[in-house]
Amino acid sequence: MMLEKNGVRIAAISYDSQEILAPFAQKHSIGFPLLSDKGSQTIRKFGIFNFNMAPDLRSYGVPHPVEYLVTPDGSVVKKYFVDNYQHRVTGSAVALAEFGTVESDAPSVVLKSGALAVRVGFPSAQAFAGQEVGFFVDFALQPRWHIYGTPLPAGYTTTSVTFESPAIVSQKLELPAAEMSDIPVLGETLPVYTGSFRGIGMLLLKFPLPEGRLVLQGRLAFQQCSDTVCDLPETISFELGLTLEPFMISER
Amino acid sequence: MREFGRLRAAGLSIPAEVRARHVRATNDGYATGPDPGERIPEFALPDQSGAIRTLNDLAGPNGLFLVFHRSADW
Repeated sequence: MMLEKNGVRIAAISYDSQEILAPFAQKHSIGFPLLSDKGSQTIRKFGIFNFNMAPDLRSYGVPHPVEYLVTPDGSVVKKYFVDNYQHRVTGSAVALAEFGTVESDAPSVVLKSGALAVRVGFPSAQAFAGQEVGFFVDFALQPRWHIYGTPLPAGYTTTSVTFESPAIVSQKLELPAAEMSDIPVLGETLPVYTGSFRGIGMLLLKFPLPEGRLVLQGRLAFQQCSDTVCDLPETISFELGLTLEPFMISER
Repeated sequence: MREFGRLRAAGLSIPAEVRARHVRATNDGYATGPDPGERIPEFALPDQSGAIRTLNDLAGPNGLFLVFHRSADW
C-alpha cells in the first residue's frame, strides 16, 4: 500500500458495531483498523454527521464521506470530500499528490516532440469505478526552450493534458505556477515553463463501470518556443490503460 | 431517498434521475469537518478486534489517513 510505504497508516470509522466490523474485515482481508463509532459520537464531534437521514432509516448516524490526511499530532494536512458515497479518492492518488509516489508497474507513456519530452502516467495500475484516480505529467524541456502556462493572451496555446472518455465524470490538472518571462523576440512578458516540472491531475471515474481493462484516450496540447523561434501549436494524442477491480457488493 | 431505498430493496434498476436526486438529497447541506491546519477532535474507539484505538497509536511516522465511511453492513 503506497500510503504505508510513505509512513502514513490508514484507519476507517463507521457507526457499525464491532460485531459487524470483525467478520467484514476478515472476509475482505482488511489489514487496517476499522473503528466502531456506535452511536456516532465521534462522527458528531468531527461535525460531519449527516442530518439528511431520517431517524427511522438505517442510514441515520452515517457521516458525510470525508477523508483526512493528518499529521501524527492530529493536524489536518489535507481533506478529501466527494459528493457521493460511491466515489472515493484512491490511496495512490493521495500518495502521488503528497509524496510523489508512483508504483513500479504503473502505466505511463512518453510523448516527445522537438525539445519537449513528457511522461503521462497513473501512480497505480489498478482502480475501482467511482474513484478519483490521480495522474502525473512530468515535463522536461531542453535548455532555452519553453512552453506556456496561464494567464495567456489570445493567440498562444496553454499547456494542457485532457482525457476524453465516457468513463470520466470530471477531471482537473494542477500545474505549478508559471514564471513570468520577457520574450525579447515577441516583445512580450508571458507565463512560461522551462526545465523539468510535474503536474498532478485527478480523474473522477464514473460509477458503475464494468470491471477489467479501461483504456482512456488523452491529449497533450502545448506550444514550444525557444529564445529565437516558435513552433506551431501541437496536440499529441495518447492512450493509457487501467485495470478496474471488481466492486464489492453488499449482500443485504 | 425513500424511492431509492424502495427500488433497491426490491432489486429493481434505479433510474439515473432517481439516483441523482438521492445523491443530492443525502448531500444537502454537507459538512466536511476540520479544515487543513486545524486539529481533529480526540477520539478513542474500539477496532474490529475490540482494542481501543487513539490517534497516537494509529498514526505512522508521517501521520494517518482517516476515512469516514457509511457502513460495512449495507
